[in-house]
Amino acid sequence: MNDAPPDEPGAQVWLDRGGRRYAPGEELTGGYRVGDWRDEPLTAVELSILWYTSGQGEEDLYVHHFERRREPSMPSRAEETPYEFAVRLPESPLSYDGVIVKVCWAVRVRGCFRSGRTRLVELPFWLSNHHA
Amino acid sequence: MTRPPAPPSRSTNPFATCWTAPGRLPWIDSAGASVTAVLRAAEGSAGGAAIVGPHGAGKSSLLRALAEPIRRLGRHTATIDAARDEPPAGPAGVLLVEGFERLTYGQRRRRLRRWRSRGLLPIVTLHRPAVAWLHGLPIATRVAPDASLVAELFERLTLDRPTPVVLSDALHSHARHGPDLRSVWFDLYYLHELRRRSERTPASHAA
Repeated sequence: MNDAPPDEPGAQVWLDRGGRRYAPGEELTGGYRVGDWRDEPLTAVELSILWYTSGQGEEDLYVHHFERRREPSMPSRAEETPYEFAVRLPESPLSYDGVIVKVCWAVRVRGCFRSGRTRLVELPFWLSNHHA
Repeated sequence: MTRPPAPPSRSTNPFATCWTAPGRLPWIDSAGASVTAVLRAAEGSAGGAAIVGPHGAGKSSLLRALAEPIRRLGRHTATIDAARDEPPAGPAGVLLVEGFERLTYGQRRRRLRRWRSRGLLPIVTLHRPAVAWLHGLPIATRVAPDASLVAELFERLTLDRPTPVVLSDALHSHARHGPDLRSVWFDLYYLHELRRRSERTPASHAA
């Protein structure tokens, strides 16, 4: 079940090669910055490279890559440098923009706060055999 | 080199299940159906109460919206699916029950007796008022979303997610489906896909 809350700005996530199509087996590189999220006490920040289905009916989700940084390992806001990642993409499933169902690939960064609240920013990308 | 279209994501279609499934949209009180009305009915009844409405009208959303106000009143609460779950062990409180109507008459009777003997106050969702009457459950509220509620929910769904679907499409669908909002969101989902694709086609030919 894809229970992601709505996107909330504050943190930034990016891909080094931008909004192009990524090929199966290619290395996906990018980074994120938690930025304004540090205004509230954070306990952890999670990075996921994942795919999920969206459309009408039941939803599926699979996490291809996951990293969790706990609060003690994070720099203070003033010293924050982008956190970089490099992940080899799998062969499948490929992105699919169907009418009934879509297969969506995304980089998702989730902030977990001491209050129990979570915030999330997501950057979708294409995993496709058709390069552009 | 042409730039690829935006990748598919949960924001591609504002009427996808991830935004419209029960509990994803906030419950909004209306003149006919409100959290307060259900709480008042439940407090005034020793045996529980029922939320009645047709398929897709928002009964589950209202049921979910009750949990927090009940906790704020200092009462314990638990939500269960009647066909699958047993109430958790613990102190008496308000039991929010989904799927009650999927049980047989005998199962419903036995479960109500068991819950009441434990001091639990069940609030159940039902399609048919006759089922409430059969089991001695007062009807706390009837859920039947009107056009103004459809307009408010449409605005919330499309606030940050652009769509070629407009409010008059939503109202037209509501006029066709009546209080069944789930069918309205289905209609709009497909309409969004059709229009988005037809908007994209001339550009791809040009490219």
